[in-house]
Amino acid sequence: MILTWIRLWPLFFLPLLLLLPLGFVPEFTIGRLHLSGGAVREWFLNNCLLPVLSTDDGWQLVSWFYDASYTQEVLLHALISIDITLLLMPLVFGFGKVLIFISGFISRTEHAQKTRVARN
Amino acid sequence: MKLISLIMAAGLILNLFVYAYFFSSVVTLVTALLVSFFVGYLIRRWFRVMPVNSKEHGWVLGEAEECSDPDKPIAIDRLTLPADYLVLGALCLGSPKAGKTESFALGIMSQISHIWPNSGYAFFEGKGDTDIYMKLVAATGGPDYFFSTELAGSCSINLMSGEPRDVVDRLKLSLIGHTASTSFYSDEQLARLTLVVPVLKSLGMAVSLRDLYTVVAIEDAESELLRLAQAAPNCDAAALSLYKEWVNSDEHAKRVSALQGLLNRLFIFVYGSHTDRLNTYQPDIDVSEIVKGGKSVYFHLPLTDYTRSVAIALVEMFHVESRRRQNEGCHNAIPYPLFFDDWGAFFHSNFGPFSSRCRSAKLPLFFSFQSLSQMTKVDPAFAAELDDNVANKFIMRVMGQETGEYGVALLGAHDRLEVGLSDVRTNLPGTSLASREVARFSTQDLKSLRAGEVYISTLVDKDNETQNLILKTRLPLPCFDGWREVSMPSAAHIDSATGEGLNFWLKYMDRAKLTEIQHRAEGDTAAFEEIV
Repeated sequence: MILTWIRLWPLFFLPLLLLLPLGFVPEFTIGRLHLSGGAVREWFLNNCLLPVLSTDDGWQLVSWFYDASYTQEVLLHALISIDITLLLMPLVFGFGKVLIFISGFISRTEHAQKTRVARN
Repeated sequence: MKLISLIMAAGLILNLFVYAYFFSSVVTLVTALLVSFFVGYLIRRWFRVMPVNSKEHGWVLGEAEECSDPDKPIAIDRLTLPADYLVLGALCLGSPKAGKTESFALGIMSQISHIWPNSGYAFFEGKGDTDIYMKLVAATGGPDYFFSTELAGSCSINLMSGEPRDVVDRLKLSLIGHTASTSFYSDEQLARLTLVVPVLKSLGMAVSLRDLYTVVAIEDAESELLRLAQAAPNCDAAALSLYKEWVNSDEHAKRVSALQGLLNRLFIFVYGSHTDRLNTYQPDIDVSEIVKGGKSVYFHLPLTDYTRSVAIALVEMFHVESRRRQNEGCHNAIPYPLFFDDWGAFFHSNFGPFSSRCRSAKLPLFFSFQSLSQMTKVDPAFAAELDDNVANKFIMRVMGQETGEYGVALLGAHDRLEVGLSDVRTNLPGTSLASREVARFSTQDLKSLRAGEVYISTLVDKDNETQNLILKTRLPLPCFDGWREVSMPSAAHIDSATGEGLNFWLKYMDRAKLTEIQHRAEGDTAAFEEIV
């Protein structure tokens, strides 16, 4: 199959499709580890957002987050997911280009082999 | 990659606005706005280009679409067709009520002072509608001269003005007929015309077509011309000798019979008070002077056989002017546009060479017509010749199939990329890409245009190179409010044939003589009809 962007464009939204549902996951337990969407949202806040904010802004955000409703938390998580998706776009683009090149190379090679066989 | 950059930029703007809102940061808000403006600029720059430099002077058309690839039209805010390429002329094709006259011809003329400052124009109107003149006056203030083959109040012109060879060139197309069976008569008539005109012009006084007619038809006038020419200091000895030889070669009646066809054609230019304006010794309209002086002239030419003959002679006067400009070198000359409105029925066999010469003499041709058959009637290759000689094509609403196909061909073809996807479980699933050359538009596209809407094929400077772009726009309608109150020009004084000139017509063509000639011409016609 020859790959083109017509088939590959959903790749750009793949990170969003993976990250966003993680924020909605219901509470579950693995061994002694209790996980839920809330834990995921908190992890993204601590590891993705706070490091890029100044200390004052960070404290303000943290205090807001403790009082935030479920909807507010989810909106913040969506924003972070979108940002990550956007940051990954150049990488996805490069990945897609590589895939297209490989599929094109395979098709060209296959076509050349068939042509050679037909000529012989 | 541009799309990805813009999506990322949109994400950045979103973050900045959220940050500004959440932390109440004015600086971030201002930054977000600045970035938004920058992204907006990028979008305009990348996806909404302006192919024509709007600072360049030319015909300002306003909003348009570039349709070089009709599948991906690009919006243009302010389209200006550059004067440098308008000087290559334009061909306009459109059915009645498509806007050929009001939007195209009047549209350019209303902006002519911006396109070519200090330039005049000549407008040849082939429909005969007086409202076009009135609208032109309302929109632009009107031309300096108005000439009509039918209306009173017209300025005068002398079809015999100019150098002898120019006069012969001009008259041979109007006065000499051609038959399929033999070229003897046409050759004979051309030879005599070539002989008589230089002798007439060598007298050093103004002459008119009436003098030419008198000299050929009346023996006494012929003798007097010979006598005057022998006394004239500037008469070429060889021309005089040849003329004398011809005069003495045979009886006058026999010589005239060979030229009867020429006389019959000449008769319509000289007989009747309405022909006074063609035979004035001191005419109002001197083509060479009006072109040099940047004056404007309106030729009102309602279609008749007589008008057609006059129109051809007028066109050939400008042909002579184009030759003069070419020979003098017209690199620094101001362009003098010639507008031929609804000219289909007036195309003549020499229009091709005329259009070719005009292009290089900075006399840009702007002509409009309705039907392809009007051109192919002249010559099957004529349409292609005009296509070659005129750089700009304006295709308006065309209802005829054949003419529509010609318009579609003028707008050219483009490469269409077609993508096919297959999910069928066969041996060849996947994506297929195909590139096909297809016509940019269909005849139905041309039929669907509104009045004034037009597809334009033109040249513009874009990305430091000259490109042929296909554009779609609606030509701005000039403001001709109050045109109904405009009156036609008041009757101009026509000097008839009584000015300073040879005056052979008054001397020899009395009423009895004219009646005799008319009877003879009618007799010839009756005899011809009997034969047929």
